[in-house]
Amino acid sequence: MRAVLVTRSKALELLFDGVELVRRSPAELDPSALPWGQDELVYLDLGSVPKRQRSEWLERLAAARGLRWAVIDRGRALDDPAALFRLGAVDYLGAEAREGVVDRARLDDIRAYAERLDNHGPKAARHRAHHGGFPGWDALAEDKSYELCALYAGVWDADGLRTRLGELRFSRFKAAAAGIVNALVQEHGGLLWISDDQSFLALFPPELASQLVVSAMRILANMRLISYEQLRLEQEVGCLYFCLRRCELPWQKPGQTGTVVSDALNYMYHLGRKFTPPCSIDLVDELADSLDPRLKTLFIDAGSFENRPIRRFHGFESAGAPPDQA
Amino acid sequence: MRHKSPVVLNVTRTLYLSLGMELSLRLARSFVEGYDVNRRMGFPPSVPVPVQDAVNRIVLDLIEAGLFIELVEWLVRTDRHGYMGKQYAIAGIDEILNGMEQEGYLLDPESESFYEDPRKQRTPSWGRLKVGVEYPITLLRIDIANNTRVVRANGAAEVEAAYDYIRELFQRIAEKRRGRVWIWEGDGGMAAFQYGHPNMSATLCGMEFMNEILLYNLQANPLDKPIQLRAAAHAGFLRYSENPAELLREELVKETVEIESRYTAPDSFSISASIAPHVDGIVKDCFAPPREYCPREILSYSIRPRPARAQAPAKRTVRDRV
Repeated sequence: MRAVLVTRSKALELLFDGVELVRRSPAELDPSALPWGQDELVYLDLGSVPKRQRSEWLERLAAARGLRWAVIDRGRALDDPAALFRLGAVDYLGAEAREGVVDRARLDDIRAYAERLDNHGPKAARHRAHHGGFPGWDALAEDKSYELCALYAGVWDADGLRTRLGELRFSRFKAAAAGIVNALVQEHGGLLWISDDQSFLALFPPELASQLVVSAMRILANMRLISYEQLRLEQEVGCLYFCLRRCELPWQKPGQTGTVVSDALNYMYHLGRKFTPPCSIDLVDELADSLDPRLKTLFIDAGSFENRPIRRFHGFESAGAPPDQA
Repeated sequence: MRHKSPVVLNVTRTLYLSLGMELSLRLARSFVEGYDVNRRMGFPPSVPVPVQDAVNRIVLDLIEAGLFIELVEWLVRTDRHGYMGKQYAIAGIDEILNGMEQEGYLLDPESESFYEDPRKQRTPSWGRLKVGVEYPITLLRIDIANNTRVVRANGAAEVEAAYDYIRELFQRIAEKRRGRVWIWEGDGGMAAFQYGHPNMSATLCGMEFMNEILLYNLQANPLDKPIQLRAAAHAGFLRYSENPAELLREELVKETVEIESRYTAPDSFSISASIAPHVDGIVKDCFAPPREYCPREILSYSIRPRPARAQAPAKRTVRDRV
């Protein structure tokens, strides 16, 4: 197994002993873009990444498909290193790590651990349980059409928010919103297809519609807590909204779509931008019919958009004690 | 704390370098009334004790008295805010903080006090509270309404699954915000908060708990009817005990139970007047006073799906296509 050390400090090479090692700068690495081999292990030095970008880096590593990664945290920047392993890390080197700690035997152990995770880990079990017959993103053939679930997540009034918060706080808000969507994508084994300042479009295995709806509802229910704790908003509540559709898509690998634009994804983009109101979830076509009956009753007919019927969940409201029970 | 721990050696060195004899003695007397280093070391009062030996004795005595962490907290406060109006540069304070982390204690930046590192251990006392000592504590109490009906109307397996989920959820949400579940009684329990912003943490926990229960009722609840919960948060002073029966006799616990059981409607979460002023506006906005007369000043929170709106608000124009 080859180790790729992502750091600005040459001194960290001393941690490695007798293993094939390549050192790269964080600036030249995009974890999601490179084709990672099963025989490579990326060690990210947190000290070489600016403080504000650390969580974004960890999310990118976690989201990178097929990537085996680990973290070097000499400055004890992480409060909870165990959380790395829940994200998918396979190794962690803290402040106490001595010279030559990463040797061939350690890499062999890590490889064995990573293979166990691939086959029997919680992620694999969740994948098997949730994805049913979905073969996995790597197994999809280019130019062939597949049934997938497309989720559009938008930030309501992003331009107004940018004006009111200022550029700096808005960029922090954006990063936090991206973190929320990335967590959703990762939780359900999805693929973030495209994103900009105010929207995200992600693809998921088709069987996951019901779980996705619940996750989106959880985000809407906790929007005030998220605004306060994650988005660090002190004056107003941030607002996300979602659209979900099951559709047939011609498959192209991310980053290689060229000019191929699917009508279905285009539709989702327009639906999100033009039709869906804040703090709500729109389901296209008969998607609502596949939900648990208790959930289905919450989705009410909201007319149609570009000749497709829309069922809408109007979000949550909070107040004092319910009038009928107070 | 081990006598030969590096952090103990660092603290001894710091007292010697930064505080000197007189201030070190004043420090020791602030913890142990009438502390006399000469007597402790067997020196007659007229014989001066060498400074290095004296501070060494002071540190060892404070460790034996179980006051070492308080001593380090005193050093942190003195480094940041000075002592009696005078600023002191405490040499090696960063090494001391690192050493405390090695020993399993983290510094809470809000209260400037140490608590156990949750990565290493989680105890109900945060590794700090002492039995019989009174502390300012915020409590969050939850209770399943109509428990008897739920148990009679459903199978034992379904009830057990639902209640297990509630207990795990309560623990996860509380510990996420540095809370500790002190009491669990099968159909409800109580969590305590002391570090960070305890009032805010208890409020956010209560809200998240109500939100999660609503979602649980909407999709995964195996019982015949939606689970109804009452929750209440209240703050005050409490004499800490490791015995739940003794805790239940504390006035603060009784008041919290009273707010939850008498003045909180099912599916609602109440915060008392001792908490409300400490809750930020963005969160407090979704609390409202109870609709009926209530002798206690409380604010309540509840959440429900919003009914359909008459008309969707206007959307901005599409700027470009995918």
